[in-house]
Amino acid sequence: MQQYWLLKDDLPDIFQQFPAISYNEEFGQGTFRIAATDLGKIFDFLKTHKSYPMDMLTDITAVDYLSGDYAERPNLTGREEDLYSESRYDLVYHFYSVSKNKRIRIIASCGGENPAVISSYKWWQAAHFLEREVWDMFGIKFENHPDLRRVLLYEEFEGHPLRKDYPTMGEQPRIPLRNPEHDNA
Amino acid sequence: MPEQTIPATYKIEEVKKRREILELPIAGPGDQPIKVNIGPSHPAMHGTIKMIAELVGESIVNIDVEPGFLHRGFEKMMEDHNYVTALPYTDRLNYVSAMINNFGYAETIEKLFGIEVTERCAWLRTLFAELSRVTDHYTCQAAICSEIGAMTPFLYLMQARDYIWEHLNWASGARQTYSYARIGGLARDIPDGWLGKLKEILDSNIPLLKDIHGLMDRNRIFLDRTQGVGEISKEDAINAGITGPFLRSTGIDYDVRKAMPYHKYAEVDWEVPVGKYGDNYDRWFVRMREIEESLKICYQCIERIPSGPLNVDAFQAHLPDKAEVYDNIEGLINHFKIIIDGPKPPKGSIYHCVEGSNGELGFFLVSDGSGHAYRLHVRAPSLMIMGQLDKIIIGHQLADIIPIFGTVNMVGGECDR
Repeated sequence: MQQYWLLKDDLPDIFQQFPAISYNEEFGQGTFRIAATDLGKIFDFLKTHKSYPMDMLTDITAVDYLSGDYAERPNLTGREEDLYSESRYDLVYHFYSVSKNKRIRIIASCGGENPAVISSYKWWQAAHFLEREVWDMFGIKFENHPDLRRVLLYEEFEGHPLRKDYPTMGEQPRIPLRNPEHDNA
Repeated sequence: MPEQTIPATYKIEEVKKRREILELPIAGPGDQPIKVNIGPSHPAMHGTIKMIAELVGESIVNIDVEPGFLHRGFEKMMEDHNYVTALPYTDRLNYVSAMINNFGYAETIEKLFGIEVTERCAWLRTLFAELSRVTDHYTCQAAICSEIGAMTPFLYLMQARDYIWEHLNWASGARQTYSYARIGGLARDIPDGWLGKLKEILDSNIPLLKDIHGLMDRNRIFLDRTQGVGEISKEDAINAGITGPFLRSTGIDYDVRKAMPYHKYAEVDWEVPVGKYGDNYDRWFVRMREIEESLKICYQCIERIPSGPLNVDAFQAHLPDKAEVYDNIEGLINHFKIIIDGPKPPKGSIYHCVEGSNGELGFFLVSDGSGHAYRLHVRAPSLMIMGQLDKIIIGHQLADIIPIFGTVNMVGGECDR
């Protein structure tokens, strides 16, 4: 069977350039986990890679590991300390190389009171709405994004709904009638 | 077999020259642009998109595309429902070709479990997915026709679409939101005589496609509003993450069905149609050709569907037959365990993508070993298109928004989730 994902052996140079990288493999799909501060460097690396240039950014999403019972994350215990834990969110990037037909998954953790990472808009314009969506749903800021606003929800929405501490049946306050000048209707 | 059709050739330079003569000069520097709200309650915006356009004269100098009017919190709901009860929500992603979403979701979970579906199921899924793609493209093409004023092809295409939908209704019990897939199989087998009647319906589509080509391909109004309008280059389209017929209209032959074959696409004979200029006309034509290719796959599937079991024998994931549930206690317990707790796949994260009718439809699933997803993210092809739409529209005239928005084909349910 043909392998569509880049695995450990396909990218020996990534381990030389990023010594802190860790790798695991599930269901035939390789996952490279790097530090959030290395994101800018790895975007450069992937975009201009000699054998597998990643010309398409397929997807950006995030996963909130707030609850302590997730066994993969033993450092998370009590709910209160978890809220601002440095590794609360996993940012998941999927890239695709159109010319080589290969995929790669990069994961970086971020957290703290105001989670923020570097935007990939400079490298891939696909990040425009994807990063706005992650900001909308998780409240993770992307530095240097040209227009970071909510995309699917409205501006007055309180909170970020895909965080695990946002209740499923959460209610929102009524918002006052908008000024007609605001939208220039 | 449908016949190959030859695209009406045109020279893009001549089209551009003609457009330059037609377009009025942009107003002087002293003129303030005016803001115009378009949508969301506008039929040409498909009811779900709002655009705030800044106009100088009739030319668009700036535009802000606002999706989200159909946001239902799909991803939050998936964290709250178990894998079986969450399946009907996937119908509502792209509600024009719901089967493809169903199968994509079911396959993601099958991959987690390591289940291989049976031969008969894989062939039937290929057939249903292609029928769905045909109906989706018919809807899109019909919308383009009606939006630029061609009512005849609109009615023809809608009629053809509804013949197929009614036929899918016979098999699945629903006209549009089927929930026909199950983890490890399908809800039920196809009725007797279903395939024979399907062949008759497909045969009636071939003269229809000829009629549509005859009505539209050399229609001056249609050509003026599509050729050279809404162009995008190969590099920009890839950089913007655009996939599907939109990307193929620029000349890139990327199709998930060929690049990472799933179902039975590797075993049937078909080709990936590509365009050249990436404008409205090429997107229209790539869709027309894709309908033909999909029909070709459908004919091959009808010939090759084998007999044999439909569903896999996987008690951890697949609902038992009703005969089992009513006749013995093991079946009954199994049924309740799967409905109440949900099937429990191993821990891990997986990304699986299928070719939706608008492009690569991906499911990123994080499983924590319980009966419901820890996180399920849908990579919606429409959202990527909407992210790039402002750059395509700017510089065109106000009236060009309608055909551009029609041909990029955005489906609200999938874009907004």
